[in-house]
Amino acid sequence: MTLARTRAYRNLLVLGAPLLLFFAAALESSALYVLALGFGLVLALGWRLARVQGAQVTARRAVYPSAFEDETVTVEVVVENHARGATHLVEVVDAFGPAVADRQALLEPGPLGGRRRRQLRYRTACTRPWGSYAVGPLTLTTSDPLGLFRTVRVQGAVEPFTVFPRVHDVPALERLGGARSLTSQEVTAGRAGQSALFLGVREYRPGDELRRMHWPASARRGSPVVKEFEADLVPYVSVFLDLERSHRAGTGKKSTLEYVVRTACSLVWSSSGRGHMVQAFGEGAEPLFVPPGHGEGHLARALFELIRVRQEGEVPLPALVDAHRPHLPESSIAILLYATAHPDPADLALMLDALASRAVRPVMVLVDADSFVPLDRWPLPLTQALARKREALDFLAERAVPTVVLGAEHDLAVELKRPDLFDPLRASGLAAGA
Amino acid sequence: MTTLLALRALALYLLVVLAAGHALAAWSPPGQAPAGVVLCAFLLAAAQAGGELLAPRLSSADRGWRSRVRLAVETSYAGVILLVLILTLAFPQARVLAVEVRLLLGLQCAFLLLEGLRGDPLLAIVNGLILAFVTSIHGGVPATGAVLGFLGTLVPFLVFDHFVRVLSVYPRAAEAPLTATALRQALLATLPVLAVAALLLAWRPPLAYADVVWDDLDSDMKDVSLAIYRLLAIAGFMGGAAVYVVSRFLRSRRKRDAPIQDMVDPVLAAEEPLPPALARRRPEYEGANGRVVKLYLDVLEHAADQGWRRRPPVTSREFARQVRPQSPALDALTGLFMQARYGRENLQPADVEQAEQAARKALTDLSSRGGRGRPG
Repeated sequence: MTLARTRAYRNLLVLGAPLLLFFAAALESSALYVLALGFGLVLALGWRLARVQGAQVTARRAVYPSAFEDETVTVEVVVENHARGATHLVEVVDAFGPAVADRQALLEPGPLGGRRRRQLRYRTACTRPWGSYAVGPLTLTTSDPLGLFRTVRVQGAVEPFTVFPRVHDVPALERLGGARSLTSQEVTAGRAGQSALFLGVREYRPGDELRRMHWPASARRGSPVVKEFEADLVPYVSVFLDLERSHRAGTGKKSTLEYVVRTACSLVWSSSGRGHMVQAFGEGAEPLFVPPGHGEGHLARALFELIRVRQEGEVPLPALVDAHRPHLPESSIAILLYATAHPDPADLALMLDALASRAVRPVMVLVDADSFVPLDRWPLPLTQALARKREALDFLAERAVPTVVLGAEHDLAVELKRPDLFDPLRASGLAAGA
Repeated sequence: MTTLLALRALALYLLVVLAAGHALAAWSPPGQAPAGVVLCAFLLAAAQAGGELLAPRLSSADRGWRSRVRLAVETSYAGVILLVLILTLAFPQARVLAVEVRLLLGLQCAFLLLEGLRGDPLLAIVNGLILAFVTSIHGGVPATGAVLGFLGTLVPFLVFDHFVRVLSVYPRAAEAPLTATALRQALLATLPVLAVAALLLAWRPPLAYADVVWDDLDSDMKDVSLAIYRLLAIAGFMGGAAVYVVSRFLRSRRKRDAPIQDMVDPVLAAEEPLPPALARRRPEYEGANGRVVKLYLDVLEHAADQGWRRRPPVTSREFARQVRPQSPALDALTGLFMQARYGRENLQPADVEQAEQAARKALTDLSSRGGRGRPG
């Protein structure tokens, strides 16, 4: 709104009235008295109408407090007129932090009748990168019909809004299997368990339930025979994030933190979407702990925790895994997100042995920090970096650990969607390529 | 929007033509007045139409050049006003006033032509005011007509101008049918002002300034024929129609400037009545404890107005921790509130006084510091 012109006309009336009064007195002219009074009346009318309208018009906003990057969000603003008379030209400016253009200006042109409300809906996109932002407050601007006096009111509180990273489906998760479960699941495995899917028959053993007796087969054999069913599987995924400060590299969208967080979010999102149980651990500036769970609510919490991590930790990943080893169920999957492409093979060996002792299947995701701009340290000489990388990959290939290396040259949207992402043979190929 | 712009142009034209017409009727010889009035009406219409044509070019001209020309024009005009006022007061001769009117009429045409330079017709309005001032010295019908004409057209102009200014910033909203609303608002704002002015002028008709010197040749200027006003009305009507039509035509063809803010086009849902307000009645808390509880609730309400809204799952202590950087006094008040609300013993008068001090400090802190609230 062009404020300068509002002031110009108002100043004309404010300065003109006393000047006219002066000349009216000097010239004894009733016409000039009336003109001066008219100016005063116009000012008084405008001021009064602006005050009344400004106090009686309110606005509030309703928006779902989270969205993904680049997602279009619908924001609802309700303008309420508590006065008896109608109101017009109500300007509402909303501060929507997740958008690059963070000031969204709307106009309720009116007339909005007395004691009535109207809902305005606008759409905006979360164009800023993932993180926590603020939305609000609303700034309401009303004016008298002559436009002489404006009332600007700030309404509503500043509310949080979370932007999650854009996630990508990871189809390779389907190949990783799962942990046994006593509760009924959709996924089963071809080994004895408690599911409803028939596997076969076997001889009766003391302790078998009588209701599982296969009477026709028992009659044919002449000895007790029981039915056997497949095992229920619940894929159980544990994600460990390497948030060590010494592995920091790159800035903005090309940084180890960005790749670690986006990959972790995509893995959690994909796992959750497949009904897997998911948990996450990390030790950055603050501990990251997402308890095991599934479903949309759990996913939202997990994403919320993941976007708050900072790569400022001091705890190496093997120590983190060791500390949380008791939380890893047997036959579950542990995805280890390293922020370096050449972890120490000795540490790896200890960690893999520990996981193997609990029959936990490891999957390695190595983010090649050397492909990003180095921070806090001098970059390793190229030959040395390649040698270390080859050593680590050779080791992982020997142990047939599914491994994937992500570097700055990789587009996560493309790489994560590869169905052979966690193929053990890829590890051999990567080692050879390095 | 085009209609509103045309109405604005019409209101401006009527403002300037009534001011100039009454001034000419007052300070022109009866033989020249009719021609002068008709000529002035058409000249002003032509100038305003020319101003509409020139406006896009002038407003997009080099900023530095525009600022310099504006400064020169406004400074010069300020000098002209001063001169007119001094001459009017020092040499209140009919002939001098007649010359002043012609000078101001010429300036009026120039200001209408150069409206695009400033972006608003403030100079034309000020000039109209000066013309009304000069006319009021004559007294009688011209003075009455000048005053009522000026007030009666200024208010509608301000209303239309306000609507146009706001709507021009919101492209989609400009399509909303607000012409009837603007006309109604203009009428409602104009009637009381005009009514009061007319009553006062009827009660105290304006007389001629006693010190005006009428020469023998100018003495017939004292009496103004009503036929001139009929002519003024007809010429003004024709000029106004021309201005309205030209303005609509030119505006509808003009390219709209790109908005400079991120204006969003909201979807407007249907209007609905407000739900009945639920009576919020606080339970009655008695005694010293009740006083402290009430103080705490008042501070919470004030904090919410300042943007520090306590969410239901947030406890009092957690809220005090959140607000601590803004208002450390809330900690003390929260402690006393907890004792008053949940404790087994009654608080002492000294505690109540402490709570009042803490509440006052908290209210001051929350009101005075500029930061808005954070999420609870």
